[in-house]
Amino acid sequence: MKHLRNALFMLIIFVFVSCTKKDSAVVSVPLLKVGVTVSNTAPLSGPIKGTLLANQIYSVTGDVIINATDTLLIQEGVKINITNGANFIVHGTFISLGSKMAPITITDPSKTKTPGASSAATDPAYVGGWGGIYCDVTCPLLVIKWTHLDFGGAGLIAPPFTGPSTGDQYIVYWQNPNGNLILEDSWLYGSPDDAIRFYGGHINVMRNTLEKLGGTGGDGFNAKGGTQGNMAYNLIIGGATNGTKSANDGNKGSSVTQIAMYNNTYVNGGFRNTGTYGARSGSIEVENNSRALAYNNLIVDCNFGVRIAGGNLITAKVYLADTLSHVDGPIMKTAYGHNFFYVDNAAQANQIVPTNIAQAVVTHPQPTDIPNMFAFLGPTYTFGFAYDGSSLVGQNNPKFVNYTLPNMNFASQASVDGFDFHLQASSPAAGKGLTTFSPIENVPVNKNFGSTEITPPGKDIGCYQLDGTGNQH
Amino acid sequence: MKYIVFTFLSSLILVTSSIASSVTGYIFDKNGREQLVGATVVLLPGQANSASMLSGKYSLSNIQAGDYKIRVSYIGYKTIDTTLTVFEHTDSRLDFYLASNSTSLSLVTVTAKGGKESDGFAKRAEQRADNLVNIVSANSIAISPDITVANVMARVSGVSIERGNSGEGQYAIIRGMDKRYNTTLINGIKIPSPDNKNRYVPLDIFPSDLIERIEVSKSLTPDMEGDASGGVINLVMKTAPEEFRLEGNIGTGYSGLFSERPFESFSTAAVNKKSPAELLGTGIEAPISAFPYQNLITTTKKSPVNSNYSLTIGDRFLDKKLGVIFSGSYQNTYAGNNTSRLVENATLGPAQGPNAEMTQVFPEYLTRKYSSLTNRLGLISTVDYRFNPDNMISLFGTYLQLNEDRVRMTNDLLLGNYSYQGYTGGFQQSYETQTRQDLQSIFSLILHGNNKLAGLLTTDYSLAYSAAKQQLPDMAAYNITQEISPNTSGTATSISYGPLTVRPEKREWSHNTDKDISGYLNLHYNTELKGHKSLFTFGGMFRHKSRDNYDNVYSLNAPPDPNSTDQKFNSIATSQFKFIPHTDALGTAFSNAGVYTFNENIQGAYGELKYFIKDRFDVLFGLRVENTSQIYNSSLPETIAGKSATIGYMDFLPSLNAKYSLTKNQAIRLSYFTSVLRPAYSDLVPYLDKTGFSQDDFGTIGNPNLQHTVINNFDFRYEMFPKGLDQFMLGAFYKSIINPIEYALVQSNYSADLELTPNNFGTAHNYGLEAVFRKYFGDFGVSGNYTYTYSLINSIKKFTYIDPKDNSYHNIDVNQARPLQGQAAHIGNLALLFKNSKNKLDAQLAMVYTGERINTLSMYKDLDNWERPTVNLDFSAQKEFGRHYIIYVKINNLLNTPYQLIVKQSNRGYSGINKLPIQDSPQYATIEKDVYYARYSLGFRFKF
Repeated sequence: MKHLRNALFMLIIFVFVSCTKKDSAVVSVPLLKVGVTVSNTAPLSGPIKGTLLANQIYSVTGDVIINATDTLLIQEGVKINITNGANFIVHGTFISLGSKMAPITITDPSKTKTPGASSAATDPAYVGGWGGIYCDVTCPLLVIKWTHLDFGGAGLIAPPFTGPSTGDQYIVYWQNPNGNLILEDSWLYGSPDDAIRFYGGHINVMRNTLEKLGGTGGDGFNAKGGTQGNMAYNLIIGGATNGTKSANDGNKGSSVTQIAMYNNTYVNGGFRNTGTYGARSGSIEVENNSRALAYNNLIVDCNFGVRIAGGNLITAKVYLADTLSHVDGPIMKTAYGHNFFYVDNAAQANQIVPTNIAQAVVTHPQPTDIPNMFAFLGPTYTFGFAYDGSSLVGQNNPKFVNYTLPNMNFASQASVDGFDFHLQASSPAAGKGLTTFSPIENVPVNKNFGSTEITPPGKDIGCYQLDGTGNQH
Repeated sequence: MKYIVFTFLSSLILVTSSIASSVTGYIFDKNGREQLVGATVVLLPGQANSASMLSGKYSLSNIQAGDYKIRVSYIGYKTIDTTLTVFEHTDSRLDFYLASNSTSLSLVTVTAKGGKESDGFAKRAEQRADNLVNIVSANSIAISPDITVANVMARVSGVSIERGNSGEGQYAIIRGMDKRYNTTLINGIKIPSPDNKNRYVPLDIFPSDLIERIEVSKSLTPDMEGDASGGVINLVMKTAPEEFRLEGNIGTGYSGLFSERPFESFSTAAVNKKSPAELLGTGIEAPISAFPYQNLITTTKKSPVNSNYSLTIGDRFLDKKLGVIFSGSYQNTYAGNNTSRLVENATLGPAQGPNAEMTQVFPEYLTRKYSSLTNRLGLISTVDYRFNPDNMISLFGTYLQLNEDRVRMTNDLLLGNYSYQGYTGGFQQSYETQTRQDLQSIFSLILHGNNKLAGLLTTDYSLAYSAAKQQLPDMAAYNITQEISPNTSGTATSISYGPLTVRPEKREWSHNTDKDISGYLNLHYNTELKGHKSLFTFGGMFRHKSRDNYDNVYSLNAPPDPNSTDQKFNSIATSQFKFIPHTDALGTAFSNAGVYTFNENIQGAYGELKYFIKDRFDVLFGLRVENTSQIYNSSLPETIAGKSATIGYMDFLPSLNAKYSLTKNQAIRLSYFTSVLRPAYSDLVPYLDKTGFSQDDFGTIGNPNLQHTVINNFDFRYEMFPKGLDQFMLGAFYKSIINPIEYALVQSNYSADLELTPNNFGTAHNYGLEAVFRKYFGDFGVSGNYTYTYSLINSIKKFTYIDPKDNSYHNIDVNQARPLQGQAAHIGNLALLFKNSKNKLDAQLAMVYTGERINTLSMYKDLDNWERPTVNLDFSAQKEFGRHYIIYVKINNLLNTPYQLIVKQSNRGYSGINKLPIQDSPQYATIEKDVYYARYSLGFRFKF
């Protein structure tokens, strides 16, 4: 009997334990709250600190200012409707903590997203609605997670502090060389110019989705002046010019811009860059003495491939990227390879390895790329020279889950809509990634005050991994 | 062209010789015993007459024997009437000594007497002045090839000029000191400038016909305002004559440039004088219809002809007590230039080692054609009343107006990375049409009086009100662009052009006014100290200045055609524009540092003593105190540093001038003075100005942290006045300049553009030698001057390099020594003069040499922009008919001297298959080359 009771007790415990294991319930953790609660009874504008409470709707009618040493925290599920082209002017700390289940939305309520063909002339995505998040040199930390930043980039009607100029149209502007900028698992939809302009600082820009960035010019992520960090696992579709870019101009000290660009998916990039012909527009740009790694990127129907600027000492507006070997890092030497290209016309094919008619280029064809451009161009090829790539049109279909290739709408399809850019298991891009290099780890890893995860390089090319890691959208 | 000029010169040298009896001799000034040039000698009865030559010599030849009345007259002198008997076949010699009408000339103040426009007066004034002065007389101006004051200035020793984009001189650089170190006065009073970049008036606003003489003081006495270190340019306007006088001038002219290409003009009727924000109210979005395209349509005109007119009338009434003069001048000038420029990139790659050089690269090549129609109107009037020799009062008024309608056509080629026909090929070509109206005016009213208070105590005072204004309404720029595609990379054999597309348009309104009220009071006490003649002077002044500035820029976007990323170009009229973002329709005036008010108050007080140690040795010393308070307020947001500022400082400015006469005709001068330089308003206000008044390639932005400059000046001069108008001077100077203000190119706010910002650069040392000579041989004369200036200053430059040892990147600041900006080590003038009084012919061939000098400072080490040395050659001649009529011809820029800027780096674009345009040397890269062509003018003057 005693044994029976003991056995029963054990059984109960066993059952109980097994039940706990199988239960899918997630026990809530307390939401982070800082300072006072920000009330949503009246529209916000002017100096504010404290916490915007979860799932509340706030409206912003004038510039919101976060003073130096103050913190503004946005809890999950918050929706912020901004009118009058207002901005966040951040001298202190700004934290937007959305979650997968309850993302945050910051938008201009007067604008709605239009799926399908997008035209620079008519799509409201390219005309800024609300302004941007402008971070001064005193801003130590900007964290944006699981947040929709829709329709940003209204022009500044006055510079908020010394740095930006009247008319600037960025979604995020950053100028603290000693601060940390974390943008993870978020969505950026629509902007007239560069979505994010960085001047220095430590960054981790990962697992985001970028749509319709740049009206008739402008890059997605444009890092200058000594910025260091990662741009990885981003899906970038329909950008006006480059998706990710590094340059070292605007540098105030001896630190060099170093960006690891890996496992990004670039689709339909570089077709709205007017005013400057043939100079630079497409997917990845590395220039002006900056160092970069560009591995495992999936580049589909983009105007240009990976461009490593060569510069010449007579006419080059853009000067040579840093292609030398160094004893210090984090990036010891600019390197690239294991990038996958799919093109739908000869013009794109002729720029998989960018040519140098407008600007000198030092991109060397890589044997690890798909297609193998090193083999295609042959050993006698002079890098930068024009070549006939027409036989590559339509080759190497990466097999997206739901996006049919060939697709001749590359100049107009600038949003994800119902498409799915995950790879099919049979994709030729699967398993072709390089995983032996390290990402840059220069920001704190913290649920609230840092990066959720600095995802290491993935074995499948592009932002979605077949094992479910990578971009979570 | 040169050949024609020399032929013309030699044909003038036809001197007649005597046949029968003759009378020759010299005409002297009775006091100074100096030759008088141009005095007339008339024999009565008969026709015989003569005028004295440069050496003072006259001759009457071919005279029959008999008794004659002889009359010798010269303006400003008492006429001599006497009798003369001439014998047969005899050459008689007879000298005349004329007594001057004028009173003491010892002080260079306006004393309203005739003859002050002569070279002789100018020279005597130079000799007797208390400080170091160079004087240019109206006669010199009249016979020189110059029609504006600025061009006249270039002939003064130690002066070089800075030209505007029509080739006209605008500002003087005195002894290598930038224009900002020099002040411009009208009749001794400082007047405000319409230019929003400078405190001092652009000299090209003054028609030279209005000027009696120009005095350039290179040292200061305590009674002078302390903000001139290079020099003070005092324009003494025409004053009422002793007798009725009527003078006029009708002239015409032509620029050789417009034989090469047509003149471009635009319709100013469509120009809105005020910006939409001024009409609709700030904060209201302007409609696109507020920006008409009509003023962007240009029309061409072939071979336009210049005209200029002037008239002066003056007399004295009421027993010569009331003097009145009125003078007016109007010039209508078509000018322009062709400019080629390689644009310097703001961001440069690192040098390949700590001892290697960074390389300036040029991604764009601009060729510009400027066409300017300039209207200059000048009116002056003076009324004076002399109660008695000791008490007088005068009222002077002037209105000056300079209106320029300018068209700038630009071809902008973006240079690529391939070779085409031996040169670097382009990948994009843009065409810009910019039209601009620049309306400037100055109004000034000056009340001046001299009084004897009691015995040896005298006083003089001035009260002045001036207002200067500049307006640039609707400066509009319209751009179209197209792609260029080579048939292959590397070396292309053909290129093709894409369709033209419309680019964003820019419209800008700016204006400013500068009002100035000032008062001056001086007291003079003439006494003896222990038997030595002494003159005490003390006094004070105040000035209240208020300036406002307005600037509003609109960017009009060119939206793409439906389902396109660009807008195809058909015509200006059919191009579509839209404000994207819509807030661009507000204009920038809303938050623009260019919208500001600036007030300045200056109080000055001084005391000085002129003490005659001996008859031949006098010193003038004293102390001046100046207090400055400034305040400005701009419409920048509160959150931006430099929105407003309050600035104050007080300066103590001692000075000493000593003069020792070695002999009657030789003297030594020594001077020491401390002076200041106040930053211009735009130097302080952090207003990013891209209107390009002085700079078409970079915007300028002020710096509110700028310090004012203090300068210690030492001068030494030896002078000799041998005889007649001959003179010789030798001088040396040293200046230590604490916190000099100079413009350097900086990259502000991370933007890829370069901007010019003023900065202080430690302490500069500036020293030099100066020589002036003038010598006449009968009808010929040679005059010249030469200045050598050495200056040294250190400035901080950016230097980035890669250390080949470990490939590490370094971005450091380095000190680099250089001369002062704008300063040429060598400046020389040489003029050949011909003056035949008998035939009444005057001619002058004038050359100006300006050595190489820094034009713009680069932010990078070793990459400053230098201006190449220039030799300018001008010619002028005039012939008098009867006593009243003169015909003149002037030719400027005979050699078509280009303006060239270079960067001193080894020139990678000089040879090979990737050449750059406009390159002259493998030793340096030419970045700008402007040509102006020769300008001709022809006219008729009359004098009664």
